[in-house]
This record gives sequence, C-alpha cells and structure tokens, in this order.
Amino acid sequence: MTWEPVIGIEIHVQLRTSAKLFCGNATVFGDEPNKHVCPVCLGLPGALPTTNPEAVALAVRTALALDCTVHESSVWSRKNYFYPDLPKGYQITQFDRPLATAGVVDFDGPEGEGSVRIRRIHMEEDAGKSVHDRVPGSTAVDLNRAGTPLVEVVTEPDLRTPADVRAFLGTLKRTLEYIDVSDCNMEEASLRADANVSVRRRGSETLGTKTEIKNVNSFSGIERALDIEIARQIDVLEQGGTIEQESLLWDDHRGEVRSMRSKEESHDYRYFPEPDLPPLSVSAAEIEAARRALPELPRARKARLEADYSLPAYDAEVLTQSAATADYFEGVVGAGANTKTASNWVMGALQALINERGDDVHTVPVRPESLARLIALVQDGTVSDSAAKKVLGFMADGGGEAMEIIEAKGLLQVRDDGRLADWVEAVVAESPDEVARYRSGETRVLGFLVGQVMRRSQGQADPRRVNEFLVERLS
Amino acid sequence: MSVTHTDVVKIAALARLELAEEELERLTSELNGILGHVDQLTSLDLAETSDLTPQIRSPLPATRPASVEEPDALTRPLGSFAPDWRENFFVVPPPPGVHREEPE
Amino acid sequence: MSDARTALDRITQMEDGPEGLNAFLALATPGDLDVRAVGRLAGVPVAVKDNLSTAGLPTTCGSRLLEGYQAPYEATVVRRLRDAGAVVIGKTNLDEFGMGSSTENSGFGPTLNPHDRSRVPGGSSGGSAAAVAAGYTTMALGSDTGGSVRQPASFCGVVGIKPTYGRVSRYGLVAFASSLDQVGTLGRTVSDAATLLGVIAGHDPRDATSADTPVPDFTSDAGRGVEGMVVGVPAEYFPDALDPAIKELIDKALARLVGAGARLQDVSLPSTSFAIPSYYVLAPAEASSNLARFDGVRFGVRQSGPDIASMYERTRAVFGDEVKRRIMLGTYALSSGYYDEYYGTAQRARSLVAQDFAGVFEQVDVLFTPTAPTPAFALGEHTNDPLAMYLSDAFTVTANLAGIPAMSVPVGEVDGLPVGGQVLAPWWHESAMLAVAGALEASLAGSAP
Repeated sequence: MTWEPVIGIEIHVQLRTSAKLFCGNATVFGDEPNKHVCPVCLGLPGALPTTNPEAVALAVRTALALDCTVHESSVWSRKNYFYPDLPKGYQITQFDRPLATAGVVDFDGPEGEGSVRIRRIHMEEDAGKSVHDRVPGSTAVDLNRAGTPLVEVVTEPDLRTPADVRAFLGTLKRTLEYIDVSDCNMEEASLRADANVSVRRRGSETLGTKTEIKNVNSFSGIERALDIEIARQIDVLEQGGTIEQESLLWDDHRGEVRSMRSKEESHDYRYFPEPDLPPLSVSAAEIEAARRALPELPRARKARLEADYSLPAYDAEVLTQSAATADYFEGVVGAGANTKTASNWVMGALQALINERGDDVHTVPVRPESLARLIALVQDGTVSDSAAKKVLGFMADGGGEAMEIIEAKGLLQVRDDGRLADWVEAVVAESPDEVARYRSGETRVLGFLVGQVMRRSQGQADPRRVNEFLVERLS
Repeated sequence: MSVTHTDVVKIAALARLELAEEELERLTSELNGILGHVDQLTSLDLAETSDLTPQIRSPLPATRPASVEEPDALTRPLGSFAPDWRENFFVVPPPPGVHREEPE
Repeated sequence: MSDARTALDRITQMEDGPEGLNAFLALATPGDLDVRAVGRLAGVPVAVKDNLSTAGLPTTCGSRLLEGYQAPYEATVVRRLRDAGAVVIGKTNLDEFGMGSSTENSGFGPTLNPHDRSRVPGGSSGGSAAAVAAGYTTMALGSDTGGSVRQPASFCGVVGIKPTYGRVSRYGLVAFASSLDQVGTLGRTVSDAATLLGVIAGHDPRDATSADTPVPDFTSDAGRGVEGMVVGVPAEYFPDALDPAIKELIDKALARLVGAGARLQDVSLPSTSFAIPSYYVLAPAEASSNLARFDGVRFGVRQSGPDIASMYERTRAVFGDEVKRRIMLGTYALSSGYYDEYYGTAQRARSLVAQDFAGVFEQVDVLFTPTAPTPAFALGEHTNDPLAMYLSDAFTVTANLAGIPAMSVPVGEVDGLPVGGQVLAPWWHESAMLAVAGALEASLAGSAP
C-alpha cells in the first residue's frame, strides 16, 4: 500500500466530581431535566463562575498519569458561539495556556508496542443536552449536564491504523479507570472521542488534509468509522480529487460516515482570556504530591504481574483490565494459591460468575481468600474441577465457605477405588462397541468412556483416576 | 484598517444580530470612525506584557472555598421566567432546515 | 411613618407628575417596606440601579429584552444592603446594559437632570444620580465601567464612588465588561456614599475576582482631613481645550485643598492618550461575549421564529442601537485575524495605563482632575455622534482600566449646572480618596474639616 493514514484523537473525559466545575450543583446522569441548575450554570445575567478544586485535582492526576508536564499557571478562556444548550453563549475552556502539555501513552497494538504523544490536556465545562425528539418540531434543552467538568486530551497525529487507535483508546480508558477520575462510560457520554484523519503517500513528511469524525460512542465504532473514512479518502485521492476539511458524523445504525455539511458556517470562536476567573494556579508541591499519590498504572502493573508471578503476557493483560481484577488476583495468590491456577480461575470461572450475576469484581460476594481455599481443595483432589465451579456458585449465593458447601451438598470427589471400579465395570459392560473400538486402536474413544463413568457418578468421580482405571482395565 | 460592508455582514452574523440594510451602512461608517480612532493604538510599538490583568492587584485564590459548594438556590421556579417551558425542558425552535411540523 | 414610606410616597407623587424625571423603572410597594429596621442602614431607603439583580422587583437593565424579567436570585450587594436594614425603594433607570454616558440609551426613555430637565443626568447610572440629586433618597447603588457612576454624579451635583476593582462583589451585577465593572455608590454627601460603600464592600466567595482585603471604616475616612497629603495634578487631564470655567472650578478646589493642609505636585501620565482607544476595544469585546447569553432561550423576552437561527436574530434585534454598536465593535475586535491587532494591543495599552499610575503614586497620595470635560449636555445633543460621546469619557476610563478607586465630588457650578472634581487614589486606598473628597465638601460648605 502506498498510502499511510495519519490519525490524531481528541478525547473528552467527564470527571467524576461531586459538583460541577464552576458552581456547586451536583453532577448526575439521567435525572429529571433541569433539576440540578443554579444561576451560574443557567447563565443567568449577573451570575459568576467559581472553580471547583476537586475538578482541578482530578485533572492534574489525569495529566500526570499520561506523563504530561503540568503547568503551575494556566489560563481560562472563553470560546464564543451560539447554541441552545450553551447557556452563556460561550464555553469556559482553556485555549492558549492549557493545564498540561507534552505527555505520552504507550500501548500494545495488534502489531506490537505503540506510542502516542499527548499534545495537551486542558479543563473545560460541558454543555447541556439538546433533545430533538421530545417535543415534536422543537428542540428541548436540559441543562443538568451544563457545567460538568471535562478534561480534553489531545494527541499528536501519531497513530497509523484504526486497530492501533482502538488499542490506544483501550489503554487510555484503563488508565483513567485506574486513577479513578471518571466513569469512562461511552454510552453515557462520560468518555467521548473524536478522530482527525488524513492520508499521505508513505514516506511523505507533509500532512494531508484531515477530516474530523464525531459522534462515535464505542471503540469498535471508531475503528469501523476510520476504516471507512480512510478508504474513502484514498479513493478520492487516487481518482485525482482533493479532500475537503470537514466534520463528519458517524452513523452507527447504518455503519456510515456522513458529512455534516449543511448550513454550518465555519466557526470563529473569538477566544479571549476569561475575565471572571483568575489564572488557574497549581503549586509545585501539589503537583509533586499528586504524582506520588498516583496508583500503579496498567502497563506497569501488567509488567509486574508477568515478572513477579511468572504469568504469560495474555494472562497479565486480562487480569489488569481493571485494577480491581488485578487486586483480586493478587489477593488470591497472597492467600496461598498457585499463580497460574489462580489466574485461570479469576479469568475464567470467577469472571463467568460475575457476568452471570451482573456483578462486578468489586461487588462479587466471594473474597479472594475464599477462592484461594476452594482452589486448594481442587488441587488436593477433594473436589473435582467441574464440581468446584458449582461450589463457587453456591459460595456466591449463600456466602458460605467452600468446605462446608462441599460436605453439605455431597460434592466430595470420589477416589475410592471400590466405587470407581464398580462404575467402570458397569460402563464397560454396557458399551461393548466402544470398548472394542478402543482396543482396536481408537484411543480417542476413551474420552467417551470416561464421560460415561462421570455421568454414572454424577460428576463426582475423579476423572484422572477414572482414566487410569479404564486404561488399566481395558489393556 | 478599513471595515467593509462585507465585514459588517459577517460580524452581524457571528453576533446573531439581524440588521436592516440602512443599519448595516450606518454601522459600517460608525465602526470605521471608532476604529480609526483606535488605530492610533495599533500604530504604536507597545511592549509585550505578560500581565494580562493589571486591574487585579491582590492574590486571588484559583479555586473556590467550601462555603460556596452550596449552589445559590433559585428563588423562583424555572417555569416562571422561561419563555417556553414544557415537561421541565426549555423549548426552542428546531435547527434551520428541520420542518416545524415534523417530529424527528 | 417610616423614612422609607415617606420617600416612596414622595417619589410616587413627584414621578407621576409634570416634574417627573423618569428616574425609576420600578418602585417598591408599601407592603415591601415592612422590613426589620436593624443594622447600620436601618430603615434607610436606597435606590438600586436596574442592572443589579433583586428579588421582588424586576431587573431590566434598561432593556426591552428584559422587560418584566424577575431575577430568581439576588445580587450579593443587595443582600448586604438588606442585611444592614436598608430598604430597596426602587430600581433606577440606566443606559441599556450600562452602555452609554447619558441614560438616553435606555429602552424605557431617558432620565432628566433635576437641575435642568432639558439636560441629561449623565450615564449610565443616570437614574441613581438623579434620584439622589432630587432628594428621593440619600443613597443609591450604581455601576461604573468607564465612569458610569462618577460622570452622572458630576452632572447631577452629587457624590459618586467607584471602588478599587475587586473591592465590591459583582455577583448579581449584570455584566457589561467584566474586567472593568464595579458596583459603585452615590450619595448626597461624601459620608453617605462612603457609608453605603462600607456596607456593600468586602470579599464574596461567589465572585472569584473579589479580593479578600479588610474593609476600612470608610465613613470615618471622609472626615480624616488632608494635612500633609500630596495631591498630584496630571497634566494630561487639563488639555488646552478644557472648558475654562471647569478648569477654574478645579483650580479653586485645589486651592482649598492646599488651604486644608495638602501639597500639590504636577505629574504626568503619558499613557492617558491610550486610554480611550484601549477602553473602546476591551469594553465592547468583553460586552459582546457577556451579552451572548441574551438569546431568548431561558429567560427574557423571546421573539420567536420558524427555527433557532431566526429566533436568535429576532430576539436580539430588540437591543438598542448603542448596544448593537458595541456588540459589533467587540465582535470585530475579537474576530479571527484582528485579535492581536485590536484586543492584544488594547491589553498592552491597558497595562501601560496601570503602570503609569503605579509610578505616579510613588510620588503622590492622590490625583485630582475634572470628572468630565463638560457639565450636563442637552438631551439629544450627542446621540448622532457616538465617537464624541466616547471621547467625553476620557477622564474616567483610566481608573477602570487600571482598577484604581476614583470618585467624583461636587466642586461648584457652571451656568447653574453642577460640576464634579475627580479624586483618584492607589489600589485599596479609598481612605485617602475619601479624605480628600471630604475635605473638599467641607471646604465648599464653608466649614473647615
């Protein structure tokens, strides 16, 4: 391929503060419209903004987690435009002197490690919501969201494939969750991403004209949208046309990228420094304290799990999907379980249980120590692997410990040679064809016979012993 | 620096001001008069300054104290002053190009 | 009967009759006057400029766009008034959104000057100045962005104070130009205006630009005397074209200050010539942004249309000519391609104005100048020449640009029309300013301070 895509991303993150950025109203999602408003976020005449320190702290934490330089002094700006859900007719944001610059995010893409430079991070307030289908023929405006604190992360155009974009966003989202600054929920719009994409001939240093893709609310959507838009741009250029700089909307239902070109005139935002707010100052001491308070970040944690627990990269990746999952895993190992077994259980049975119950790893009612004890009982043969999965379910329902449940439910694994021999005999007697086939060399049939014994024992036989028995018996 | 009729039309659109032709003409000449006076500034060689706010003369805290965490409670319900208030929403006409009668 | 009730009755009677000044856009009802008369201003009726949000009375800012608008919250300064026991007797007329120097730009008709009803009271706080001058109240709140308290005080023969930027909360003051606006006070006497200032001043956490500086006893400052003070006389405020009658009154005032123990010193503020061009870029620029919220969506008078774009334009078409002019000017100055040339340059010029003052105040304690180049002009005299109107703000905009406190105090009359002298002081030094004004007032009255 002679064409190379060049992609940069702008991410908006809603900070999970108790109050809005410039007033004390609560930040809530989905409540009755226009309930959490006051003169400030309504943009009433005479109202004035005041800056929320919690929002600043979370923004600083975000910038540090993305390895940026946090500036001790940054400036609020007004971005002026008219929209019904923009109450003041301007948004308070940061224009020429943002909170942080020059960061980097490393990620693992499908073709290996990648790296994206962060150009800038700044704070700004969110707008309200315009709803077009609530009142027929009109727009209904809800200002609950107006004034919610946002952090905008702008990358350099360092990405080269839609798959890398997806991987980068996954890492970014995970990092934000680790540092607990946002719900990071794309459906609820607490995390939004727009992509800027252009193409150029491979080897060229200059950038092509870019288009902006907006309105995507999933990472898979961004990947698909980028695939489509890159193909379109290449098509246009190969036919000798030119790319128009424009904003495009992603239509998830139809799977297509649509031009926003209607009567949208290009905006002149007339940025100027916000006169109602002093500069945003953060002391070097505060920045240092925030840096020291950062938790272990996903990639560092993954590397540590691989090293300290000798885990394969795949396991470490899955376990560090969330800090809570990694904490759980380390809790299970800390209570004595073998690391690989613990990993398998946490990734497999525990996750299945969580999904089934609609829980998450914070709320699942089985403590890591309890799971460790269950694992030990499987290891020493007290209970079979498949029975243990059932035990886990009972533990989550009733909250009892593994051994109690095993005894109460009669799930002890049978290793008693006498009973095993009886079951084996019965199965051999009733399956003469399979026995013959096994003896004639079809060793795979053994599995069927083992399965029959397991059925007879209602899952309680130790399958390894059954296997050994059968082999011996049939040889 | 001369302000043209085209400039004034563009500025009026940016400011969402609907101006009659004679208003546009009058404003064009008025703005030119005022900006002509202001031009004496732009022809000066003024030093760069990092002091964007010379009127601020005492240290001002960057963030708000806990005492204003409580939002200033509205003394009257929104519906009492909103021009079009339905089902707890501020209602406005649709974007241009959307037919008034059609629901979305 | 309470003072407030007496005042209300008198105002209602006078304003309804042929001698009416159109000073008020709204008046309290007798029922509103039942307030606990406790505090520094217990029972005192105070007039409040109609760009300050008040509960119970509309806040129109002199604009048809806000006709009937009842704010659902109250300005901090108004709360403080009430906490001090004062009675908000009514909302006074103003140039629309504070933009103007004559109150002729009000959407509800001009206010007349009580000294000569064919003349303007000045602006934009013309209604407040007229109310005090007519004796309706002894005190009033105004706002001052480029001279809007001091110039009407001068035209109406009353005292008008613009405090240091950040001295008084702007929460609830409908913004014209945020970095220039301050709530100001008007009074019959220096003591009245100073006392009112003392009541409303002080840090407000709801205004991030309000300073946490202790509030001195302004009332007592007015009687301090000026023994040993150095009064600067800046050459640039006495151009050759200055009306000789006004110059004479200022010179006489200066002589009286010397007689009271002060020393004069000639000084120079070369950046004075940058002030008007700088102000007339910065103020409209900020105003163009501050007035974007008047869009008919959430409050105010909406003029609807088939779509949102036409609704915006029809609603905002209701702005008066001066407001539109300033919005256009401001939008242009901020627009892409012109920002550095206009806004950027104006900021640098502003910074020079402030630096000049800082330098001069190392040599002198206060400055004394005329407040306005003329006494009150006739209604209609300047309405066709906006530039001429702007140039008449030359003496007052400098204090707003720098953020220093300034006030106007009556110094005499020219052809029966009041003339004010302006005292300017360093940041946070209202005390010095009030001492000088108090001394001038006392000396005019014939008694030594």
